[in-house]
Amino acid sequence: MNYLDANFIAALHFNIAGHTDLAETFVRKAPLPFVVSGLGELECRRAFIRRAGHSQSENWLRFQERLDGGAWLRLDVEWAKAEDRAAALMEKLRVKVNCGTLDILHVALAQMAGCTWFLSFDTNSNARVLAASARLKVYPELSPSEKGRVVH
Amino acid sequence: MKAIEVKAREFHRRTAWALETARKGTPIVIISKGHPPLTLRAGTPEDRQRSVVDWDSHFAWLHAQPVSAVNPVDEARASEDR
Repeated sequence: MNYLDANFIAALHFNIAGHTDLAETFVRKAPLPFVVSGLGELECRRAFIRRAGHSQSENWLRFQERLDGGAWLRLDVEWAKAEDRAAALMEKLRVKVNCGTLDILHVALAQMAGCTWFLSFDTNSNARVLAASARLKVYPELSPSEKGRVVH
Repeated sequence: MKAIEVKAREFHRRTAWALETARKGTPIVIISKGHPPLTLRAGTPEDRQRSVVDWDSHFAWLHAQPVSAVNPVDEARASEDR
């Protein structure tokens, strides 16, 4: 399955230079189901409202339509399990991969959902590096600098 | 809608549970090595058809929107000064 980070979802609902085209290429070819975690949905809610100025933008309604219609799978967050999985990631990798708490949670949730792919454009955090270190495939491909930070 | 992922071996062991769970609305994704995943979900093929995204129509709409230089999620994340 494909785990959608919030900024990948945004790239599929706003026309973003350098992001939307890459996201389109992936979703048109992807054979596996897409998973949206409660955490990703919440982040999107905040970002979409900030950008649109209200909570009922067409961008948001289109996103909700995919979830409510079942085209994308909504992953309810089981917080106790997510906490345990995130703690295990911190224990194993965080000393080497400097990452924020929410980014660690996204990677933990992707693992819990049994995802193969972690879809994210966030190159400002180390989430993509952490995902690769946790043996998830990352799209778009890691940059050489990110590859150099992956823990094997 | 959440989904539950099970290995093929587990699905065979717990078929009744999987059918009941899918009937109640939680899709079961059956994973087996070397094969594409199978999803067991309630509804007819027509229901499924309705849930498939029409990407042509969606991207026609999306590409007609104004281009933004910044991803709104990256912007929101950067604004969090905690």
